[in-house]
Amino acid sequence: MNGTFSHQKAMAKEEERRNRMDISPAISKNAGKSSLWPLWAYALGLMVMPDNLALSGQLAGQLGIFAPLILAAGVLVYFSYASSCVNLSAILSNAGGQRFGNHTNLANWLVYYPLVVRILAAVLLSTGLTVSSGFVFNEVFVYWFPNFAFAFMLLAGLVGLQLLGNAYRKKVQIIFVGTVLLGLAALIVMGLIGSLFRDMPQPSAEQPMALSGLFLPLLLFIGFDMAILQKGNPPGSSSAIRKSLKSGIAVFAVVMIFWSMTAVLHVDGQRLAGSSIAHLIIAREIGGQAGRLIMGLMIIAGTCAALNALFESVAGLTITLSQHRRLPQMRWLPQAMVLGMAAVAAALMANGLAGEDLLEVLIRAVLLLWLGQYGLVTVLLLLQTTQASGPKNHWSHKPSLFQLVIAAIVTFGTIFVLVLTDDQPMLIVGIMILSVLAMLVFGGINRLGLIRLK
Amino acid sequence: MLNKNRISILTMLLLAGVVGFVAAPALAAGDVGIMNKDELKALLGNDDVVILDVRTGRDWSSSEFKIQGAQRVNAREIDEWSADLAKDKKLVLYCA
Repeated sequence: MNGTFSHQKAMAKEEERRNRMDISPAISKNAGKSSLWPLWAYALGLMVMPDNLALSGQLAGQLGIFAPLILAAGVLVYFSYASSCVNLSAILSNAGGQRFGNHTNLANWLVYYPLVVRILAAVLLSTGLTVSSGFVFNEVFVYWFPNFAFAFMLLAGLVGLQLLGNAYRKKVQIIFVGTVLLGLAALIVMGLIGSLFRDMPQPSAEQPMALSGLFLPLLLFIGFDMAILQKGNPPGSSSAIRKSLKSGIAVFAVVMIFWSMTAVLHVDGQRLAGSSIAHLIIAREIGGQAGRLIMGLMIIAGTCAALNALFESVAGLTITLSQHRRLPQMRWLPQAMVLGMAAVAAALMANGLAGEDLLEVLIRAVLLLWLGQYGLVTVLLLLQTTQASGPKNHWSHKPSLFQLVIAAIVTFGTIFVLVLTDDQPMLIVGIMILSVLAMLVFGGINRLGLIRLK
Repeated sequence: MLNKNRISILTMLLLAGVVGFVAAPALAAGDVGIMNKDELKALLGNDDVVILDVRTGRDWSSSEFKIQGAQRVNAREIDEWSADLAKDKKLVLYCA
């Protein structure tokens, strides 16, 4: 009894210290041991996934010379998200605390939102990305090797990686992301040099710019917040993390801008805009078989980067929520979550979901939900800022009111347009509603005290 | 470390079991004649052969390879398009 009391006292003291310093529990443990690479590797994990490589190629085809402008605008919005989302850890560590003033209840429910979104993303993207990698391995590298077997082995290998030490995972994640970025850099250099010796492709027809094309670039940067709450705890102060996230987003955007410019120098826009393998076409046109090999390697590395970051992110969030008594405090829970997600993905894969158009709709819905998370965090900050009485200056480097309003409008506007212009708007909305309900179930269980027993 | 190795092996076996269990019925469906790529290659350009690409989702969208002249159809909508096919021709369905 006495021990429990001193533990509670120590916890309260630690919480007070964190509040004073604006440092999340995940961040504070390793404060001081700054290293940019692991942070970037997790922040860029989802950005470098093969689906984004394909999307960037399609956007280059759709937007042409406007692609860099739209990407730059997207970066500005994400800078605001980055500032807001660094405080996501503060929401988790102090949900229901004084930071949200009258909006305590909202924060209480929202703590489960990232977990639900990431679990869904991990399961669905595991199903889709590993199968895509299987095709690439079969078609680019080893013709006789079954694509399905490769997809399954890749998934098993990534689950195995999660059971290794944190230091290994960080290093491997840096290698995965580094491979994709180096591959892109190599193709860009080859493409720019090559464009000096060849004519630009003649447009086959006037390419009408789709409304969704103006908003889709915002999906390219989703997942940067996976660097915030990791099992191994990101190093450095919240200010260092904020700067690292922003620099990571900026670096990726610059690479994407060069990539889209190189793409339109080599391939007709209409061909890119309508292709599901735009990235492979660009690589092939730039470097022939060598380009295919580089892109093949990038696709497999990008799959590993995305899934490793997602698994790690779910495990990290589970630990953080357990520490704050919002999930049961069981040591095996993070590993069980990873195993469970992989088993579900393997079962979905075996049932042929990757061969169904439904998977693409589900993935689109989850990405929009993730974007919605940034919107909700922005709204929370907005509410806190506009609150008449309350600790207005509690969060350091908080975006300005104007930035927050613009970010919220752009976010929800983007979601609205992308749902409206989707082939399956009702299905997307249905999936989004179901996911939000799942989050509310978590929140409801927590409020009833059912997971505070231990 | 030994414990971790055991867990890794167990994980892979578990996943293998799940896949094997779910995929077994599909593998057992062997009534339809199967043609290998060399046999199909010999038939390419033959007017009496209709090649139907029934791949969907990522099976189609992730693949670089599309057989020239193949018609893409949705296997789930077979009732809609099967009536239009000439009955006297050899139909080759390409699904992976």
